[in-house]
Amino acid sequence: MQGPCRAQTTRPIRVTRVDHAMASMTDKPNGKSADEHPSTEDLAAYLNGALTVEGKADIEAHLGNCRDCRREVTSARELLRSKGSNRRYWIVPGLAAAVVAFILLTPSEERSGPELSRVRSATLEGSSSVEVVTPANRQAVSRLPIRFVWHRAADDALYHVTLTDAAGAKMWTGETSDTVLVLPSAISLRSGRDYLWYVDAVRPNGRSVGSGTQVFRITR
Amino acid sequence: MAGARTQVLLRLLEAKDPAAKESGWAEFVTDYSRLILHVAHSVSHDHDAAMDSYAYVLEHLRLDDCSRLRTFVADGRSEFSTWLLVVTQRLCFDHQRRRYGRLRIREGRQPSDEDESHVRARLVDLIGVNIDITGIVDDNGVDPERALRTEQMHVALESALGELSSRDRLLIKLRFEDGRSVAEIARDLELPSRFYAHRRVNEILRRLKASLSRNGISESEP
Repeated sequence: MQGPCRAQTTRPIRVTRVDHAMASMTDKPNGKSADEHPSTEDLAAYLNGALTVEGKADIEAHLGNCRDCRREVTSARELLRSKGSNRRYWIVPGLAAAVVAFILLTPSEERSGPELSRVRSATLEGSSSVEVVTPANRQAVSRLPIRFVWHRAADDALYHVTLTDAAGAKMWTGETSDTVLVLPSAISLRSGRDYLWYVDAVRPNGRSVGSGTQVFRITR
Repeated sequence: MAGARTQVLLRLLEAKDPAAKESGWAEFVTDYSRLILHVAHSVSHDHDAAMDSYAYVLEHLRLDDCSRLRTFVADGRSEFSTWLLVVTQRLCFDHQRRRYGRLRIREGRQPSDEDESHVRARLVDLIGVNIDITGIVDDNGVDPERALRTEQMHVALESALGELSSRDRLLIKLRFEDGRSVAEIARDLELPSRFYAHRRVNEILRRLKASLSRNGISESEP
């Protein structure tokens, strides 16, 4: 069967059409559509393994068709696994109180990015950021392995380095009291790709400063 | 509700006078800041953005006399911390969308070329036949017969995927669309082991290939 009419209706095949096709083919146990995004309660119950067999099947039927929800579930699972670990997201009790006070006492229309920045910076002593050396922002990197280097922000700080891909997905984290970290060879970076990294300096008293995100590209 | 931590939530939600509410809120923030900040750092790609998200989450949890927190039902289906993690993550995503728009593509890159070719490459692995990907996506000057055959291949693939159970379909999507390792899939789906997950994936691929063969799809060229 061929002809101009058929040719005119032909369109490029995109894999994502599978998702749409499957959405219409999924069975619907318990009368609930597999197209419906899970509620917060159902998702939390799914993550805690507390759903019934049918409820779990509903969620997984939806996850098979919805990439966004799969990513949400994957991210939540990783957070649940890591939240019990000794992550160094220190926060000064005073900072928490300052943020809360700012929100409660300032009319919402007056709240803005710069205001909140002042709240943050008011509680950080010394330098307001960690100054990076290399890879600098927008730097092209040709030499491997990658060495992350920055200036010391405080003598007693512990530095937490994070590397992400261009979309912000975390690829690697490392900690040191030094001002240099070498990316392990097991972490493979591809030529022509952009990567993001940042370093947070955390002091024993809980105060922290960061470098802000730096972008670099691998060229080799 | 049970446990010291949910008692913190109870005290906040049951507080009547302003002083008790302020005290309850301060206690809640002290107890759950670490979790909220942990999520904010995970979602945001830099320190400042994470702090903005953290403040956004606190603001929205406090809104309307903590109306969002009041929707938690202690029916034993989930821990409050898990529920709060999900709420926080969704609020952080919402905050990001409001600030940066809905990022469907990687920054500075075209929306479809590399991402879709990557998924199509995985699809080749998925069905185990050497489909000419460039032929599938070539929408310039493809002759009608080739286009029809390609369409038939696609319909057959959709049909084969539709024959899978929802769990098997999820397994395949996690493996080939999301790039999860079999070890991660085994852990997330509570399968007995990664070896079991690996065998399961292979079995599904064999079934898909058999299904395509029944529909006359076994060659690379349409």
